[in-house]
Amino acid sequence: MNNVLELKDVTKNYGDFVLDHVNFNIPQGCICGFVGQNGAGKTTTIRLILDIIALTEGEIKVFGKDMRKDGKILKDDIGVVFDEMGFHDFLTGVQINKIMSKMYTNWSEEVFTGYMKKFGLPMKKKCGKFSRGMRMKLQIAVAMSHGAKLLIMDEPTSGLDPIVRNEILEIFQEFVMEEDHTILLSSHITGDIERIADMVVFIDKGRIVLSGEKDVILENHAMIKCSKKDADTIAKEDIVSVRQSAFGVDVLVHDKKVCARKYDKLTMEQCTLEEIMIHYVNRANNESKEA
Amino acid sequence: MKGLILKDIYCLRTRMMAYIMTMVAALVLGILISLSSEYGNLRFDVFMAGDASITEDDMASYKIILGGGTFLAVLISLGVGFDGIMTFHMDEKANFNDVLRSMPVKPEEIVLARYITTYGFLLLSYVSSVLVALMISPVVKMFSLGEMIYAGTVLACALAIGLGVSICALFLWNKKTFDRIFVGAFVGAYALFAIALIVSDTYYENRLDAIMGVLMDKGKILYESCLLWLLPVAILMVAVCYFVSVWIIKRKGRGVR
Repeated sequence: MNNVLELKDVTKNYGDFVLDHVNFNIPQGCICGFVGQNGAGKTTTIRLILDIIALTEGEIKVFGKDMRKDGKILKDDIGVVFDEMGFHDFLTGVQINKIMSKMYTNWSEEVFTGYMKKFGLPMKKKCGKFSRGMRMKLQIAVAMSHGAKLLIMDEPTSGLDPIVRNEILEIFQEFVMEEDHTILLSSHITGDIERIADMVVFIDKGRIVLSGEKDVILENHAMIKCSKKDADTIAKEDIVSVRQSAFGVDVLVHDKKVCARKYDKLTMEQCTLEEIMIHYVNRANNESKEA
Repeated sequence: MKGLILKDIYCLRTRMMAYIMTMVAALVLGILISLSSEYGNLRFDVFMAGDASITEDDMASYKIILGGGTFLAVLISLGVGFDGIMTFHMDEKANFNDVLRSMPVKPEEIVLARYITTYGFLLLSYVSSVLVALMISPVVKMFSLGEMIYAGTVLACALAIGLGVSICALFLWNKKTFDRIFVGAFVGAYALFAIALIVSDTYYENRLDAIMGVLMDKGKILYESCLLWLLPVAILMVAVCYFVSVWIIKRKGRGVR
């Protein structure tokens, strides 16, 4: 399968924050969840992919091409949704349609008005008067009305109520029904990612801590809830991290099958992406403390 | 690029009411001053009433008040031309710069669109200033229509240079930094001027009058031959600023900030 997006040793040094040699690929036709807590480097990575900010080091390829050289052509095939709406408050749907029709080669007024209707967004109302959910839908409508093959979205569901979030996630799932459509979805809401993503990339403090197919990650990891004494019997190389809980400790292990054989007396539970993320962040924190 | 120009037009359309109000105010000011110079307190004999003998200073102050007021009418209408630069602020406020950089637009197109709308707006305000001059010229006796248009053209050239430099600065820094630098430079210039005046007054006394006199005379000569040098300089500066803006935006590898 072709990679739509390839990041190789991507580094951005801000002085007080470093995006440190980020590597991951996104194959065509999948939804990639880009997960990390606030300030982990998700937005910086997205801005680098879109060539909004300059790379310090590394290489980014979109559809096999360099964004810095072929940006104008490539961006015609990319739809972008930012966490904050980037349109002026006084613009209406009608005006946005006119502007975008002059910006994108394949802009379709029919598709745009169709989405606006579908999302229940009035074409003549100023977008400054839209609610947060409506603003997000407007951005999505714009992102999907010019025949984009890759959607890049930065926290599109944060701050939205569950019903609107659900609606938006369904739209994304519909979008990837077309086999050449791909989505990079950044979020700190792991529930959304768990629901729709095919692959997951975890980022923490500018470093990729885990990446791979979502199902594989969920299948491999397991949570052992036990006493501190039992936790001490688990080999260090099997553990991602150990956290105190109300009844003892939670131990996240990264190879469920191996651990099931090695520690057959301990009970293993299926864990969520959120738990995995918390434990990986916990491990990174512990490592930096030790360092 | 057409989309960017259209977006800027929508931006500037939101300021249309302020623009029209300024034009009306300029028109009213011009007419009021003119009427006052004919029938009111600015009539020469009324203005000079009570003075036993009219000195050169009295004449100068009369000309400054009357002339300044009339020119002010033309200049106000032209001054709104600087408003075109507000699109930078609007884009920054709306977080449009990131959206813009995610669209299929080349950096050169971003710069060109900015220059087209900003200078287009300056041209529009220049045309408006000519219209204001045309409208108030029948009642103004002190200056001819030609003189008013000349003054407007000179200021338009100066504004064009100022706009070019400002656009470069806005591409280099964000609006907040630009405002701080602009206000800082403005206050600093005034402070320097004030200090210079105080110091000159204390140490040089009469020499200050001499310096000011020379400056005024040279200023007059400079003003009268303005279009000979200011127009080509303005055109050259705008061209230079455009290329500098392109260089800045490419070097920074980002939209505006």
